[in-house]
Amino acid sequence: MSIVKIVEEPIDVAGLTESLMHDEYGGIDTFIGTIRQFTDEVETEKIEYTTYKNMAEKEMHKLANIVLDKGMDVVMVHRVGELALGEVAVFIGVAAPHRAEAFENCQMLIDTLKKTVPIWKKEYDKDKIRWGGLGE
Amino acid sequence: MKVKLFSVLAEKIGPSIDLNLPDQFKSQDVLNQIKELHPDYANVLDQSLVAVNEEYTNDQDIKLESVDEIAIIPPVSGG
Repeated sequence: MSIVKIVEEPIDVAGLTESLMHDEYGGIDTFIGTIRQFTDEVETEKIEYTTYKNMAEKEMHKLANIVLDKGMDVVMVHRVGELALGEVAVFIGVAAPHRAEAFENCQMLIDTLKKTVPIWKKEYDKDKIRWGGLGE
Repeated sequence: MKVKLFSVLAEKIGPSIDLNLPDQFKSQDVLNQIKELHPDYANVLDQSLVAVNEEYTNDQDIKLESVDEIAIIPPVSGG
């Protein structure tokens, strides 16, 4: 049942949440990452995401499998391309028997995705372009 | 051997770069060759990893004959 992929089209938050609803799970935790306007005083106008798609999906499956192997359900969807303010860049969801496991594994998935999955952001800010991960 | 580039490296250098790699090498050798050709991006390359056949490498020896695909992975920033 798990859904793990990189997409170019808008992420269907309601549909993905619905996909996690099963009778055996009583706790569903979701993380939705969106394009933020302000980071301190820096104003962002849009973000362009690129990826090394085959490797990125492979790395996402490795992470999802850690959670699937514990008997939970998982959704990991990341969007690439040009995203406007407020649009959803990433959706992570974990369905588990109880809430503690759902919270814990959902956080692990998004934290690890940000460290290991080859996806890059090019941030178009009011003052200049910033490449994610590289600092100034 | 064509080495795939991504993110800022792809935008500044191109989607790939042709390198002459020996029969056996380490990931650092790949990064060093690109640094010599494009010293302006040494800072990015110093923070980058090398992926062989869509898997991260560390400092192990890499045999050229086992390489189907090789890519430079700058610091990732998804999410």
